[in-house]
Amino acid sequence: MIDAMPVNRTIFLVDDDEAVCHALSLSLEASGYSVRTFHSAEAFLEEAEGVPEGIMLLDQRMTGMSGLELQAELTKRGIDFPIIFITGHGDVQMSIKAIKARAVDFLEKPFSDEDLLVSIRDAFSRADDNKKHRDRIAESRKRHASQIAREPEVG
Amino acid sequence: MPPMTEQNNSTLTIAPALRYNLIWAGALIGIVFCFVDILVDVMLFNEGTVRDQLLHPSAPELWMRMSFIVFSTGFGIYAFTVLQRERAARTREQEAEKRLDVLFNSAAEFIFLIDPEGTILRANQCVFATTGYSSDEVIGSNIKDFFTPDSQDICDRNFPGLWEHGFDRADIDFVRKDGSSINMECSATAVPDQHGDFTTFLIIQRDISERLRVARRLEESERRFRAIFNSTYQFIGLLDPEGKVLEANQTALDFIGLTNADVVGKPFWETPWWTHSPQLQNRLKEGVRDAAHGELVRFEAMHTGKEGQTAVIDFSLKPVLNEQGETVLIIPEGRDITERKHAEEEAKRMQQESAHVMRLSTMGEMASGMAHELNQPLTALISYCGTALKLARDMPSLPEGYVDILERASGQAVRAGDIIRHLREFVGKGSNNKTRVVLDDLIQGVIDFISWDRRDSDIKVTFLPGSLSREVFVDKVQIEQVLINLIKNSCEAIRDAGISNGQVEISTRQAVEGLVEVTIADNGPGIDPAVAGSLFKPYQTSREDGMGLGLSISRSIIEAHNGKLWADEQRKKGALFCLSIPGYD
Repeated sequence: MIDAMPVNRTIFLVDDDEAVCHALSLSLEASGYSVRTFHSAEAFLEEAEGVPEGIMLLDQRMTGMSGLELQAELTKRGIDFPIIFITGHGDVQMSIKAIKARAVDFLEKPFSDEDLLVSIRDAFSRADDNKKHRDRIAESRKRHASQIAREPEVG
Repeated sequence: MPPMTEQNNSTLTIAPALRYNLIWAGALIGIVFCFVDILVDVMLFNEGTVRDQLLHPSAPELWMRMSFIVFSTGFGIYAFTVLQRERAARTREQEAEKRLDVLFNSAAEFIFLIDPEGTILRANQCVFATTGYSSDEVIGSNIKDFFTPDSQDICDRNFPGLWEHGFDRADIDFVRKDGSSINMECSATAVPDQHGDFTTFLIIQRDISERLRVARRLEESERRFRAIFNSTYQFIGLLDPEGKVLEANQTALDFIGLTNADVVGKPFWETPWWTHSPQLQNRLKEGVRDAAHGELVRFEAMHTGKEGQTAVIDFSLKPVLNEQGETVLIIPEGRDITERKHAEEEAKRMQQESAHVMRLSTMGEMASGMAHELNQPLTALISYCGTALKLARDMPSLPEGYVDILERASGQAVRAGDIIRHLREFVGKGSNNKTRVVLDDLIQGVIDFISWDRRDSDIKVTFLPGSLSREVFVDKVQIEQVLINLIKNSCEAIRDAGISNGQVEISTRQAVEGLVEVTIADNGPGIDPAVAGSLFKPYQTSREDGMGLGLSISRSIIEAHNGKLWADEQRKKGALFCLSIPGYD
């Protein structure tokens, strides 16, 4: 089933249904992930700046701000979590919007544990890719910056 | 007047021997007395005594004179009595003449005496006063000279008849001195002389200008009423209490292509308006009977016109009662309500259609809402089962079938999810019928529908089209449903708040990115801040009879059209809802 236990992988679970939050976090923790739950998009946003890297399980339909709206807000703030949408009310229009806004996956409730775990693994690998990509960019920037810094000496 | 024979007898009592002497002496004395008598006459016959004698023919002064005569001669008495008689007769004649004169001159009619040639012998004061001619101008002139040429012709035509019958009458126009003419009714009576010949004619003319004016006014008024009667869109007629047609107006006649002559006098139910349906004929007979008893009868009837067109008529029979409360006339009246009927049916159909969509949408919305609500616990259930399975696998020993049971539990939860999904897809498929339509036209249709539905309301619903005939690709009935829902919400809010001069204004405009925007603004109480946040959630309502799905469904419909529906929460006065959908290019 699960080949390698994830280490220090954090999942942010945003869903306004307590039972869903509890069940999913139990299941994910049993699979070795560290799970932080938020009962609304607004609650997550309050702490968004300080959270470690991870992926997000996001319910689309919530009281207050919707999942799609939270995604847009995070993009605006430059917070780039891979997001898996979970929704009890999926439609084509909505999933297109979500995927266009770079959601990793779109799961319709109720979903099986297996499907969820596959999606989560994909999301983490995306997160890793993102991180590598970011690191490479940061690395090249650093090199570039040091080149520029050296240039006056050359010149 | 004392009897004459007595006086004559007293003459014979005088002694015959003295007769001749007495005759002469009496003649002298008689002459003296004649003078005295004339003097007395002059003294006594002032106006007062004339009147007294007129009223009392045996007035005392006459007797006083008689006693005076006892001292006179027989001749004197004779002469005197003759004088007395003549004088009395003359007086009476004068008095009668005077009386006639008074009558003659105080009459309000023109009175002429003319000779057979038409020459005026006498005319009364009224003639002079009314026409402005003087006595000299009238007397001696020919009466025809005062008539208009037309009236002169009438005179010439009628005069021979006057000779024959002794009486005739005609309406003539009399020309005044100032040239204006008076309409007069003229009667002529031949006055025979002692030989029975017609030598004079009495002409009496009465001013009938006023009567003619009244008659003309009546005629004019009758014409006006007839114009209304005939040109009104209503079918109107008159029946006698037995139901016979007395009259029918032009509108009613035109409907069946007949003339008054074809229907007048017939029983109403046997006229072509009714003969197409024996059932209606019976209904009408009953109605006429009831109306004859003073009841107002009203029913709806289908009629067939001359071109075979059918019309729905709102028909009534109104009795006209006299002072005794008896029906003297029945007024049948029919209003063509075909168009109203059609509109009502159309409105009803639209309402049914709209209710149907509402039901479908409601089912869809309920299914969708239920799916969401049920999927939450199912998600949790499946997840719990998964976790339990995970934990179980690490257990050294488990009761037999334990893992199988957990797997089956999880499988059933997944199945429940599938059932819900199918149900939702099934309901959701129901109404996908998109067409291209001009948005402004669609809204105008909704406004027309609403105005029919709300024709008893004083809330003003106006539409300001501004989307320049942009087309949209929509499910027409669904979008209509949304608009009707929003407008009705506004109207109900206004009504519930008891606001007079309620107004709902719908406007359209082109928005950015090819979107078309519709705004529904009202001057109602606005959105309660307490519910503003959950306005579009299902089962939220401020109304007792609402399910609270209207706005939620409306938003679902608009979102299914890739559009947005929102409320302007910043608005200070009234509520403002906005929806935008992509235009069709």
